[in-house]
Formats: sequence, structure tokens, C-alpha cells
Amino acid sequence: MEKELCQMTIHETRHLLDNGEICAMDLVSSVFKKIESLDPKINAYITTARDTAFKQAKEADKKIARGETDLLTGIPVAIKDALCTRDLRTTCASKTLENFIPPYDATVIEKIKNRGAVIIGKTNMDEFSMGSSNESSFFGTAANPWDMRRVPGGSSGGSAAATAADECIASLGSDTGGSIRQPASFCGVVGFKPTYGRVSRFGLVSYASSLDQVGTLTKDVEDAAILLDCISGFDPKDATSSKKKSPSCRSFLKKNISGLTLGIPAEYFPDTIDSEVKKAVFNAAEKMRVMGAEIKRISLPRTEYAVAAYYIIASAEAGSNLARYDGVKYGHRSSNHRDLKELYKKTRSESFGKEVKRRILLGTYVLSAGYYDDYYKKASQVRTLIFNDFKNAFKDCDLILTPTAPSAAFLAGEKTKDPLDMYLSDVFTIPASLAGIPAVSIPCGFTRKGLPLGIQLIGNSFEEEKIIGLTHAFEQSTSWHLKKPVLPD
Amino acid sequence: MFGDRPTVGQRVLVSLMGVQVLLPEPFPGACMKITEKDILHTASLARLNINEGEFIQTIKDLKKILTYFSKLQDLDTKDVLPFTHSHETENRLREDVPKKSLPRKKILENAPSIQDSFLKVPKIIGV
Repeated sequence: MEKELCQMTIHETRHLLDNGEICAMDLVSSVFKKIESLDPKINAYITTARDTAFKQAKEADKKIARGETDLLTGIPVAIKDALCTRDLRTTCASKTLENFIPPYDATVIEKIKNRGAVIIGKTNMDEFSMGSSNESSFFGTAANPWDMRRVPGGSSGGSAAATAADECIASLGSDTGGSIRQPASFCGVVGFKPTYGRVSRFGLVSYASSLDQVGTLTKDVEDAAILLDCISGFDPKDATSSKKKSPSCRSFLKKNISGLTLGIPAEYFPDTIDSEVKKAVFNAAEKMRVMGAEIKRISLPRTEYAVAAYYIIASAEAGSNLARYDGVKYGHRSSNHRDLKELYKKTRSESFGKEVKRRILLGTYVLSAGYYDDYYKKASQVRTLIFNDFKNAFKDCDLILTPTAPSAAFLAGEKTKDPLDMYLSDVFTIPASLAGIPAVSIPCGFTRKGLPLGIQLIGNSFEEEKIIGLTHAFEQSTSWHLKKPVLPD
Repeated sequence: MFGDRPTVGQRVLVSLMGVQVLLPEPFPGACMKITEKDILHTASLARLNINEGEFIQTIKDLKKILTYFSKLQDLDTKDVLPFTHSHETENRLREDVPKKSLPRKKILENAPSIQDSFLKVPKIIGV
């Protein structure tokens, strides 16, 4: 059966667009046809932008005709609803921002628009990015395209599901403790979280500012390299963005990987991990060894403390960041109040979901005087130790190979009763977030039930290109990323 | 095990991500075991109401999570500096010259209640 246009990658469609074999209007039509037929079941989108997308595609066709083609000219991209898009509703999957229309674009949106991207719509997510399953969305959970009864992961679950189900060509997400990598693993796509500071956070709705990072969810590694090259770089509007020059990730595609040393940390293979996951990771390691990489056992001794440190720090920052939703400047306002304090309380109580409230409470508690040293300060010190663990590990290896998640996608409702159980599903992605270093999840196999599995490759600070080089070589000699879910028409 | 706590009423200035912040007042009888009173106080500081139906479950969940957090106490962190940034950062200064900003009208379109060019809130003076 011939491939539909929406099933293709950025680099495949770029080639066809530039050769005049297809036009941007065909491509955007194919994507919207897919959305219309599938999204009522998958719920990957909170808002679609059909009219503006078709206008942008028409513009793209004119540009291509004039020979003014750029990397993303005419490419339909989906955007996690945590990124501000000018004149396009941005809800963060919360009732709080149900009707919020940003007057500006996030820097990454401006950047991809400048490269010619067609913005398809805003994808579903956990409310304010707080969740690992998409189930905390005010707009209902998204489904996993590989098994509709299962979650797509979170928080960028909508972006992962839309990419896996070909409801877009590629997408942007954000990752605070694994929110790009874990859903990428659950949905069988490539999810890249860059080094903290490499991509501007301006216009990304804040959750935990010392951890939040914008990244990509794509159908293969080459697309990740293209999209990363488009969004990286210094931004004066983000005080934590780095001035370090970003080398082009694309120039590291098709590299020979022999001579690279891969570290495998013992702490990422506890007894509790699914045996199919373990097997898939070891198979991937063996494959990389055969391709010329050296495999080394390493240790990241403070790994088991990462989840506790993360949820203290992230909740503390969230409690502080979400103080802005007070019903005064923008967002939901309770209509039922006598004075200002009651307006604040009722507004916030009516419009935040359960998980968001829980994290605000936790964050407020751990920052309160009398608890500050035991929780926030302690967690920040543990964060230093975890950072040092990675620093030491990278003296002995170039990249670190681990599972992305302890299991394949779980069933909807399976972990909603126990928040701690849900938090622990981020156990392998959190450490790299705490250290601010780059990491990717790529497909590495399937379970017996046919669910996708992912491996995580973690690199040293600002060494995205090494990750791209290795994962691209791995992908070229495997076919996991080419498998598509069987979906109803 | 948890060092000296400030007494009730004493407020503490700490540095949070480089910004000096005044912490809220400590709860009476602060300890690792979170009580119903603590939760109500925390909720009030965070400007949240917890409805009766959710209260018991909220306490149960928070207790479980805080107990899990306490595992960090196993690690010796004496002389370890708290983490601030993963890469070199510096204070960024810019010329103090006016730049184009977003149009006021456009920003006020998202406001729940306005009067002329002001955000409108319930009366706060003389109530």
C-alpha cells in the first residue's frame, strides 16, 4: 500500500516538496484528513488551527515556487498546548486557561514559523505538564494509538500520540522530568530533550523553571536533528538560555559510531523493571557493540534518590510559578466571591485539577519555614550529588544507555489512584532532568502484546550531536521506528 | 535530625534560585508528620480550598509522598552546596532604553474584568 503523505517524515516530505512532486496544500490536507478520522478517538488535540494552517500552507507553496525554501517550509507541525501561540488558544490543558489567547508567540514558535512551519494545532497534555499519563488533562485523556485502552504517557502525551498516529509530521513538546521521553517511549516515536539552556523557554508556560526544557517528538532521528537545529540558540528573553554556540545536529547524521563508549548504569536495572524492557535494552546495547561502540558498566550511585529530590524541587517551583493564576490578570475568575481573598481562593480551587492542587500544596509545604532545610535545601544538595554522579560517569564514557521507562504504556486508570506510583514511572528520566543534560528516547522494540518500548541515551552537557550520531546510526540498522500502529480508518 | 527550626512568628529570608524571598510563617509545632491543621494552613497560604470530600484522601496522599521524600535524609549532604545552575550563567544587563511592547488593548482582552484600561478587582481599601 502506498504511503499517505501524513505518514511521512520531515525529510521525506521536504524532498517531495522541493522536487515539486507534492505541494504544501496536499500535505496539510492529508494531515487534517487523518485528524478528522482519528482524533475523535485519540483526542491528541485540544485545539486545531485549520484555517490558519491552510493559509500558511498556501504561503509556503508560493515560497517554494519562488525558490525561497527553508528547512520547515510547508511542514505541518503540532505544538504542545504549553507553548504560547499568538492568536491561537493556549490552555495548558487547564480550566484556568480554557479561554486564554496569547498576544505573543513563544520564541520556539517564532523560530519554526520563520523557518516556514505550518502550525496544525495544540496538543493534549497533563494539566500544566503535571502528570505522566495525560490523564490530568481538563480536556480528557488522550489515547495511545497502539492500544486505545492505554495511556500515551505524559505530560506531552498528545504530541507523542499525534506523531505516532500521523496526525502531524512532527511536534514540539516540553520535558521537566521526562515529559517528552516517556510518552515518546510509550508511543514508539523519537523524543528529544535538549540540554537545559540550549532552547529558549520564553513563552513556555512555567511549571518548574529550573527543569523545564522545550524539545521535539518526531518519527525518526533525522527529523529530531532538523527540528532541534530550528529551535536551538540563545534568546535574550530567557535569562537561563545559553550563549554557547550550537553546532548543527544535522551535520552529525550518518556518523560512524566505532570508538564511542557507552556506559550502562547498574542502578537503572532494578528487580522491579519489566523483563521485556530489560531484554530490549540489552539487545540494543549488543547491537551498538556490534556496530563498533564499546560497552562499559558504570555506576550512578545516587539514582534512587532522584525521584524524591525531583518532586520536592518541581513542586516547590510549581507552587511559586502557579501563584500567578489569581483570576485578576487573565484566566478563569470565580463569579462567586465577597472580597479579594475569597476571589483568589475560589478562582484557584474551581479551576485547578486534583494533581495541580496536590503539587501546589506539596510545594507550599516544603518551602515553608521550618521545613525548608529538610526538604528544599536537602533536595537541592542531592541534586548537586546527582549532577556530580553524571560528571564522574562522563569521564569514562561518551553516552549513557538506559531504559526510558520501567514498563511499556500502562492502562488508563491503572495509576491514578496512587500519585506516588505515578511519580515512580519517571524514575529513569528524572536524573538527566535534574542534571540539566540532554537525553533522547528512541524506539528499540515491542512487547509481546505489541506495545512499543524505548531506550534512553543520555549525553553530557551541550553534546546533543553525539546522541544524534549514535541514535541515527542505530536507527539506520533497525526498523523499529518504521512500524506503524494499526488504526481504524 | 532536622536541625533547629525557627520558632513560630519568626520569618526567614532565604535565597531561592538567586532571588531573596521571605518565607511564610512556620506552623505551630512543625514536624515531619503532617497534620490536618498543617494542611489547612498550607492550603490557606496557597490560596486553595480543600473541600470536605477530598480532605481525608488529600492527607493520606500527602503523608505517603512526604514519607517517601524523607528517604533523602539517609544521604549525608554535609558540605554539599545546593544546586543552582547546570551551566555557567551570568547576570544579563541591557541598555535602559524603551523598546516596543505589546499593545495594552491586546493584553487586556484576556482579563476577566476591566474598567477603562485597568484590571478590576473587588474593593480592597476600606472594607
